[in-house]
This record gives sequence, structure tokens and C-alpha cells, in this order.
Amino acid sequence: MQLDNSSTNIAASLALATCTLLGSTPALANESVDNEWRFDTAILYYGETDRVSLVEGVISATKDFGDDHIFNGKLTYDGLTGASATGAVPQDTVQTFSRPSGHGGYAVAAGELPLDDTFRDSRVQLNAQWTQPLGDNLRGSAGVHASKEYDYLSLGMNGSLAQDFDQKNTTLSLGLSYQFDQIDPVGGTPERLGVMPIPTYIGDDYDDDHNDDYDDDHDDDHDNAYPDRNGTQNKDTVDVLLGLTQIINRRTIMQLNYGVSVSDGYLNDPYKLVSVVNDLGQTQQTLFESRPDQRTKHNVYWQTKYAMDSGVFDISYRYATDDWDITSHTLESRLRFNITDNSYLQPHIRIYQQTAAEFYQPFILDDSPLPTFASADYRLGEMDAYTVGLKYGQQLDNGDAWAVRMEYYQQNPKNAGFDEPGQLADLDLYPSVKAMMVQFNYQF
Amino acid sequence: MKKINKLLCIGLLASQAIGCASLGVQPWERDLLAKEEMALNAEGVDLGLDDHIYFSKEATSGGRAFAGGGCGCN
Amino acid sequence: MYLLRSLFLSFLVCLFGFSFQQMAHAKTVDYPAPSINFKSAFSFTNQTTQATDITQLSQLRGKVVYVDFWASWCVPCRRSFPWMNQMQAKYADDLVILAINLDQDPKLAEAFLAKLPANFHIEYNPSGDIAKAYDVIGMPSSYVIDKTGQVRLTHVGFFKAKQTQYEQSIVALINEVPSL
Repeated sequence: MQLDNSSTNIAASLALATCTLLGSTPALANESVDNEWRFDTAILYYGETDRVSLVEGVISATKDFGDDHIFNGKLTYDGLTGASATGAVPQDTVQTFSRPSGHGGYAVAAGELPLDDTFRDSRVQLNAQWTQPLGDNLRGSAGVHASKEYDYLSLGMNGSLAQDFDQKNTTLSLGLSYQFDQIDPVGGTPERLGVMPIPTYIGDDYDDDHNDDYDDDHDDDHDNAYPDRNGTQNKDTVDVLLGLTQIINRRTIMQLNYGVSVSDGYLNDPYKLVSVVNDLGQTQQTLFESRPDQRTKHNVYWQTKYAMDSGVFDISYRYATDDWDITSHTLESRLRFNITDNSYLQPHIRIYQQTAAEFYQPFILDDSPLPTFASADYRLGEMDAYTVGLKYGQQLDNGDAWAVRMEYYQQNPKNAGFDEPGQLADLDLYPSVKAMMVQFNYQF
Repeated sequence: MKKINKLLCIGLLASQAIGCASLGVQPWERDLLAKEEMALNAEGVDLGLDDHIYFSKEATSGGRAFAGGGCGCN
Repeated sequence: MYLLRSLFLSFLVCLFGFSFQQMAHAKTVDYPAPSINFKSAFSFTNQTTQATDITQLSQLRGKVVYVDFWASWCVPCRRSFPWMNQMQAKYADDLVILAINLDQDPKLAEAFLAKLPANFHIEYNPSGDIAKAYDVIGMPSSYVIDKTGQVRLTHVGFFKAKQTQYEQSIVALINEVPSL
């Protein structure tokens, strides 16, 4: 499973689809020659304080088979370890939870936010994309992707068209993608708002959960304590993206996109929990979360790039809204300073803000009726986040290039107006998440 | 489908209007826009990794896509 | 899944709609070639083995002239240079290739030529006025001018797959006997 349990990002794959549309393929824009492979590689370390850490490697290979008939293949591997917030509230006493498989459990100290520390997984993803001209001013692109992790499979395809107008000063593009996801949760799929059983024993025996060893017999791994639970769940997602790119003048290019995304199927995170508390804030029961099985998202994205004499200024803004009542604003900027003809320094800043999903609640009160939908996943709650980073890059004499970047990312979940009964008032239900990212790129 | 067509029409009209307002450059004035770092999908690997992180950690995702600009060579 | 189906359908409709719009490539035209004054903006660098003392396009009457507008930052231009060298060598007696560089900074053009040497005429036009006179709509753009000074064919872009076609159009004009 991913940091989130829905590994591939369909919008990202769609972006990849439209990405290669036009002779602006970066890997091929300047130095490359027809019929030569160009490789972009990167390795990223992402580490949260006391929580998840992730190592992700990417190899992207691009080749122009002549006359702008471009193939891109991309292999991504990531390995994840560490703990992530389950959604259960902290208590002023020790709490125990069952592991997802139902074998054994774990204890959470008094005052601590419950984290499931058994997450260990790896993911492999393959993308392939073909782009070619379809006429003087029209380009088309089509691609597929597949991604696999222990409990998750994602398959997708995409297609897009870009038509130029006004001597290629204006480009209209239309992209479409379809993605099929299948989740086979460890321990089976829990009932919506079903009660998490009390663990039979507390121990360090993690091996049966979130095992990343593919060689193990799957049946063994899924030999869980809940034989009656449902197994595999599916999800379908369709994304449509409409884009307008306009060259403003010799130094400025602007882009405006509108995207719709419709997901249908199992949208829960099977490992996320919601605590049921009494009026003293004491946990009575722990339930599995329940999200609607449909979600429609809309977003508008605007980006402007400006070529300075010695660098590039890049600014973008995204507005997103959906029928789960989540609205978000993202403002992002990069400023590239060319230090010399072949080296640069690039500060980066990103500011993000989101409102809570209508069914988000940090806990359920035991004297109120059980809602149909409830999730205490902080990622669906009200939150601010920011990122600051710096990148240094250098072009080598042989045409290769390398870069290194460091970023700091902090999430500040907020109380969206929920009263905190009893002991909960004294506990931190919305702790900040702090992460560092370090990345190294090499291009050859 | 109607909605898409409508959007497409609006987009076309908008681009025509923009075209009339004499935005844009002559084909031979694309030297700066043709630079690798001016491509809308420059640093694609970085953007992909970022998208993956933020997708996993936040409730919204997507929006970015790339087409147009660049050198405008045929 | 109705939504999904109709989305795909409209996508296909768009695809075909656009494709049909996009059939024509090389354009056949027939008008007098706008004049080019050489050495107008920048001195003629002695890149070529044939750098003679041409100062006017009209001096080339009787030869087929291939005018190519290019720039150092243009990717397909890179593809066209080896081919233009080949053509100039093959039809040395009947064909004059004039490659007009539109870089704002001619130094960039010189760096390009250091990597991809050209055995034909290079003219520098950083102001772009010649390109304007020729109504250049993309990079590279090529104009094939017959022996009487008429532009007979233009094409935008350079595709390796069409090299034979480009060559045929040159040969056809070489084989023409102008009725004077």
C-alpha cells in the first residue's frame, strides 16, 4: 500500500499523456538526436518525523524514432516503511488495536496518536507512452500504465490530442484517461463502520501484515483471522482534461487547464479507523471507516512561465473542488537562477490549503446516531501545508546533467469546528506532519 | 458530451479572440521559449515524484498537464 | 458507464474531425519570390565552399533556388542540414540552397554550424524582415523557386520520411525548360 491506499494517480498519468504532446518534450528539446535514447533518472528519499519513509527510484527513457515520433518508457520503484496515522484518537490511557490481518495487535502509549507501524511495502510501476504528429498542427499521444504492490493493482490507459492554432501560438488539448484499480486488503475488506475486534494478543509478530515479500505464497499471507470478510474490491476512474496554452510574447507562456475526474467503486481506505467516544472522550469502540463509493472532482489549473535573461520564473495556481465538499487552493512557484551557462540554483515554494470532506469527523460520539459515511483520516480533514525547497543543477561537458534538491514539507491539520469532549480537549488530535525530501537526478 | 463540445467551442472562441488581440510571437521569435527549462513539462521526473507525494498526502490531486509552447517547430 | 462511453465517443469524433482537417502538407504555389538582399544585415560568413559574390536573389535566375529559414534552437532544422548538404552536392550545377538564419544572436547560429557544417549559402537575418516578406509560418520553412524566380512549392517543417518527395520536387524544377 502507498502512503495512501490508491497507488497511481490517474491525473498524473494523464499529465504524462499530454506531456509529450508537442516538440516541447524536454528530454528531446535541445541536444538529442533522432534514434538515440535519452535517460532521465532520479532517486528520492522522503522521510517523515516518526512516521513513514519512502525511497523511490525512477528511470525514464525517451527516444525519437524520427520526425517527432516519440516513445517514452518509465519504470518507477518505491519502497515504503514506517507508521501512518490510523484515524483513531489518542487517549490518556494505553490503547490496543488489532493488526489488519487480525493476527495479534499493537499497543499505543497514553497521549500518543495511534499509528499503525507495520506498513512495509514496495511498488513497481511501468508507463509507456507514444506521441506523434497527426498533421501539420495536430499531435496525438497514447499510453498505458500498470502498477503493482502487495495489496494493490492499478491498470490504466490514456489518449490525448493537441491542436495548434495561430502559427502555434495557441494550443488546445484534450486528454482522456481510464484507470482500473483493484485492492485486496490484508485481512480482507472490513465492513463499513464494522467494529474492529479486540486483539487476542499483543506482540511484535508483524510478519503476517503488509508483507512486501512477493515470493511468499499469497494464500498464506491472506490467511487471516477474518475468513468471512469480502476480498478484492475495485474502482474505476475516468479523467478528462481540457487545456489551453497561449504564448503571450517572446518571454511568456501561459497555460489554463480544466479537469474532471469521476471515480466509482471502492474508495475507502481499508486500514483507516474511526473511534467512537463517550461524553468523557473515552473510546468505546473502534470502527472501520466508510466513504461514499463515488466521487467527482473538478479542477482549474493556471500556470505561467517567464524567461528572464538569466533564468526562469514559474508560477502556478490550482483550484479544486469535489462532491465530497473538499475545496483546495494550491499556489506554487519556482525561480531558476542561472549561475553560469551550465549551472543553476532554483528555490521552490508551495502553499496548500484544503477544507474537510463533508463526512470527515475526528471521532463519532456514542450518543449520536451512526452516520452512513464517516472517516477520521486527517488527509480528508481541514489542513494547511507548505513546502520550501532548493535545487542545484549542472550540465556537464559531455551533455549529461545532474541535479540535487532538498525540500521541507509540513502539514498542519486543523480542527474544522468539532467540540472535543472530556479528555480529548487535552490531547493533540491534529499533530503536524513534518517531512524532508532529498532527491538526486542524473540525465544522460 | 454536450458539455465537452460546449467547452471545446468556448475554448476555440477564446483562442480566436486571443489570436485577434495579437498575442503571440512570430515563428522565428521562439528562441527563448524553445529552451528546455521553458517547456511546461520541464523537470518532468521531479513533477511526477512531487505529484505522487502530494497525491498520497492530500485530498486533491492532478490539474497539471502539458501541451503547447516550446519551440513550435513542426 | 454511459458517461464513460460518451466521453470516448466525443474523443473519437474530435480525433477524426481534426485528422481530416490536416491532410495537406506541402503547398504548391506560384508567385514571384520576394527579393532577398544578401549581406544586408550581417556579413556573409565564409561557411560555404560556394560563397560567391551573390548580392541579389535575381542573380540566381536560371537555377533552382531552395530557400530555407532556420534557427539554432529548432529541432527539425537539425535534421534538414545533412539532407541539404547532400542535395547541394548532388545537384551542384542546377541548385542553389540559401539557408537563412533567424537567430537573434548570430553567435548561436555559428555554434550550431560548428557542430553541423553547411556546404551551402548561409544568410543571417536576425531582424526577421526576410522571413516576414516570405510569410514564414513555422520553423523550418522552405521555398522552392524555379528558374524564372517563381516560388513554386513551400513546405513547413522537415520530415525525414518526406525527403524523397522534397527531392522530387527539386528535380522536377531542374528538369523544366523555362519558356522565355
